[in-house]
Amino acid sequence: MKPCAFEMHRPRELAEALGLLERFGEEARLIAGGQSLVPMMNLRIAEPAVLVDLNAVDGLAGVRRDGDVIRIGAMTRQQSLLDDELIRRHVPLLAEAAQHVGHFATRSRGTIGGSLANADPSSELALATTILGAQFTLRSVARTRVVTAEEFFLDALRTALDPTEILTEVSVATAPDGARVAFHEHARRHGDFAIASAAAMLGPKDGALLIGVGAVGPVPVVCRRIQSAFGKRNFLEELNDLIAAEIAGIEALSDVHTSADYRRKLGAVCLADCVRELLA
Amino acid sequence: MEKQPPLLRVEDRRFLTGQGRFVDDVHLDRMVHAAFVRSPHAHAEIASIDAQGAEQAGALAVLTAGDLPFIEGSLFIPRWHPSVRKVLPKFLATDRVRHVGEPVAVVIAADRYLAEDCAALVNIDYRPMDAVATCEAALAPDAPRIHDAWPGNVAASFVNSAGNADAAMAAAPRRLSRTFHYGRQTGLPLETRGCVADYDSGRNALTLWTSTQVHYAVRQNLSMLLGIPEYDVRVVSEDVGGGFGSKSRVYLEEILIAHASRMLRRPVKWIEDRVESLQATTHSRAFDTTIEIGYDDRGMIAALKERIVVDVGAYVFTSGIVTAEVAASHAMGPYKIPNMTIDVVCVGTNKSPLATYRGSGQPEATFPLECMLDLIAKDLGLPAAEVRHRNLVAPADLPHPVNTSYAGPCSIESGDFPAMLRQATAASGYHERVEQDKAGRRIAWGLALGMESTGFLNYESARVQVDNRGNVLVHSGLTSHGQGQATTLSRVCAKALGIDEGRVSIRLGDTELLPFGRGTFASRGAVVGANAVHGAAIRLRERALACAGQLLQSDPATLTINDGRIERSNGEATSLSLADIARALQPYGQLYGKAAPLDESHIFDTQNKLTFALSVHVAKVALSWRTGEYQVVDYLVVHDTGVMLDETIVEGQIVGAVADGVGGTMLSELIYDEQAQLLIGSLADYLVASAGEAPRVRLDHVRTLPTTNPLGVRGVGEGGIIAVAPAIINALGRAIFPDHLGAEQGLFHLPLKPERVLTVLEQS
Repeated sequence: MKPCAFEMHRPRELAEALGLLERFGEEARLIAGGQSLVPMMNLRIAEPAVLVDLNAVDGLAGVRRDGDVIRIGAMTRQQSLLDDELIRRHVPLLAEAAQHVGHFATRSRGTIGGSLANADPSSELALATTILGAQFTLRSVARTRVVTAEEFFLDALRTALDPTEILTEVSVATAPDGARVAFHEHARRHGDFAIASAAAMLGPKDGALLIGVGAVGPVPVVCRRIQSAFGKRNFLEELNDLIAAEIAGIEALSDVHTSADYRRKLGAVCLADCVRELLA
Repeated sequence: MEKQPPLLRVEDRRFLTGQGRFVDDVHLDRMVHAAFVRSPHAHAEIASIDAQGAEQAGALAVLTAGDLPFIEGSLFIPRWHPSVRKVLPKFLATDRVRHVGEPVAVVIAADRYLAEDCAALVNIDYRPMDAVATCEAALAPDAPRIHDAWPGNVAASFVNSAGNADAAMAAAPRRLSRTFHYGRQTGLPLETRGCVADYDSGRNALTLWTSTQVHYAVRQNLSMLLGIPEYDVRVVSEDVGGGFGSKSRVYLEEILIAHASRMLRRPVKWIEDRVESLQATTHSRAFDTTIEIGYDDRGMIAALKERIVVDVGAYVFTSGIVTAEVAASHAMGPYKIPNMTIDVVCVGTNKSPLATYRGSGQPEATFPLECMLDLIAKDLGLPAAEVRHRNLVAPADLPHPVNTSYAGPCSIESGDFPAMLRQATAASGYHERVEQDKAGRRIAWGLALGMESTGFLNYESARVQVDNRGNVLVHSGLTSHGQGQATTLSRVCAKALGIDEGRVSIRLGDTELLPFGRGTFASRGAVVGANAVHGAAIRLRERALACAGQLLQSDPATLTINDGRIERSNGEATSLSLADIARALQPYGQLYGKAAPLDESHIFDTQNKLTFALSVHVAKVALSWRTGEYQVVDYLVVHDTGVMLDETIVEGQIVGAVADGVGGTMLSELIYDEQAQLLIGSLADYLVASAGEAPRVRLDHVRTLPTTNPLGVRGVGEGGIIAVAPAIINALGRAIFPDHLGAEQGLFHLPLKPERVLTVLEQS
């Protein structure tokens, strides 16, 4: 369980990092917290010839408020999402989601950008950012572009990132004061990859409901049927049918431990639990 | 207030401050590194092996079967059940591989990175063959044959019987039959296997540091296969990061690494990685049991019939079919069952070989029996505990014979099982009502009894010496892989001698310490190892008092040792200490030449008598009706350890074993696909209980004294795991089918995933 030989670069400036990607193209992999990449390299499932380490790059980590938007640097550690006062206050769903990400040790090293760029179907941060309509800044030497989370996640482990691009920042609109959030997840053990998860945010008074389901399919799914039916008459009576319709639209994943059918069932349970918690 | 046991064991400071000495901590001058090339195929012919690429890339050596002078030799087999059709794996595969992970070549290089690079360059031309992935497939008439010596892919089969089960079953007013599946699991030590071999060509001597439970067996095999006298082979296993039965045998890799060191005349290190460990360290469990019980309207059991099919994998390894033997020998648990037939078939498949894992056949036997007892209780409308009481071996029945194939005729000679069961139900709060918690989960209790046969394998040796400052050095033939042997043995020695524990140093896990010994496995440390230390210390005390008698001109019978000082029996102090006596026995001392120095060895021999230890497990489980997920929310174990040598150690063993058992019940499985490919390759796939799943375990002890050993102890390493699965599954059975027989059959499958439970719920 030792990785193949590789060349390691540790740039201090973003421009330098982008330049290295431009130079090495698909031979290069970015390393942030390394919590997914390093095990893959040790198993020789990933054999990058060049590693570009983002840990020393100036200005990629940290959380700041910019008007109605919270800007989160891609190298911000996952544990910071739990600890940071701005996140807890203004993006409470992300803080809630982060509680389900791995363990203290892995969260202390793992980053938000690394997790999003890895695009594991079970990623709690992918689910939360998708529901919140977060915007991701992708930079390369040639250009800077902004995509929404929904546009970013293409498939399991596949994103809109070009080999020459770096996800540098995640920006999320501040939640209205008094917004309530819920996050429900089922995994074999605490901290394991989710079998199914759901996240939701309810605006204060007559506010809108944002809700989605993760881990069931290859990418997080915003449950628009539930969102638009929310607040209408008979919502609660129809909820189970709405959930069933949402789940039926997902091509569920299966693996050695869990069938697609069971993922769907748990996805439905998670969605129902989120709604019930917010309406309680 | 309850007295709290001490927080730290003798060895904890060293471990917690990173000063343990595990194999990977051994760094020698000129040391090189090994990586194994292992079969990616479940079953294939090897057409050719080309090592040229690896050699060009910098490999110092690439060893294949043809390079091994001992390839036709065989590991030493201590004992095999007579029915075993003997097929051991070759040291490296010759013309055929029979399971994923079977070693084909060893690559040695300057560092482990390069060794792995080179291993990837060894070009092996495999011709894949049809693989056998399940026992069912293996027993099919047209199944591919794994070995010529295994007609019908049967590696061994035997029947254990008592009385006349057929007649008694036919005559029984009531009968119940169910099937039970115990998945393939493994001991999963945190420290994988590994060794460092250092061959000294000048002396034709070998030192092997290895992560093992059986250093003497490793020495014996190295000596035999490499042709080096045993006295010139030193095997060291100083600190071992867990064994759980998966390191209680010599492995091929130890021989190969030693051979490589001799060939290259350099120290060679090999540390098994996790992927290898899951493939190449022996697996365990893998039982399918069909059980039928005949009983009367009062719940008295008249007959027990079982057919056990064991998936032994591609070879019968050096431990033979011991788990099958143990399961068949203890199928009746702690109950009086007059008639039984246990029909065992060990079936070959293209999977890793099977051997022991904590409990070694006892969890496999206990799971079906204890779940059936709950069904019998439901069938008769009786409390689950009552059915057990009616069949339990009671003090009046003792001694109660237990015939084992692996240790000969034994007997349960002491114990009060009914008292333990009463104490367990009372202390736990066990009842048979089904309740609901605030989250809407169903809450129910389950119980199960587990018999542990402890102190297996005849003898252990120990030596106790006193230096001229009164410090005491103990050598033991045991190893320590988490048991805290130093804590227990220093306490035993100190108590026997009459000195402070802080005066005692314990050394073990090194064949150079004592001429022979066994090691640590089968819950034998306390029963066999501690009694050896105790015996040596008692003899040393007698010798010291005899010397004191001479020096004080007193009758030794009127003297005693207290805190290292000689006292008179009436408590009066004398001028002598143990240190004074040690000095008097040295050259120029007063007693020199008149008596031997304070140095005693003792071999404690059990004469193969097993020491039985019952434990009663009571589990409270919360079950979600919507998801099938369940959680163990309370757990109590009542245990009889006889004399408790060290409370912290005993409790640690039981609590740790319960956590192990919870993982085995809920999570752990080595999953193969239909081509016998192992789908589990990391700890993200092979799940064990972590802090979140392990319940807080309450312990309660009943103390009866066994007559099998002077200290009056029973082993404690496995009792904590044996009855975990049936306790939890009986609780689930109660939660789902509170007062009638239902579709419990769906729950009799380990590990029991929530998904499977949900299927049962949907059917109920």
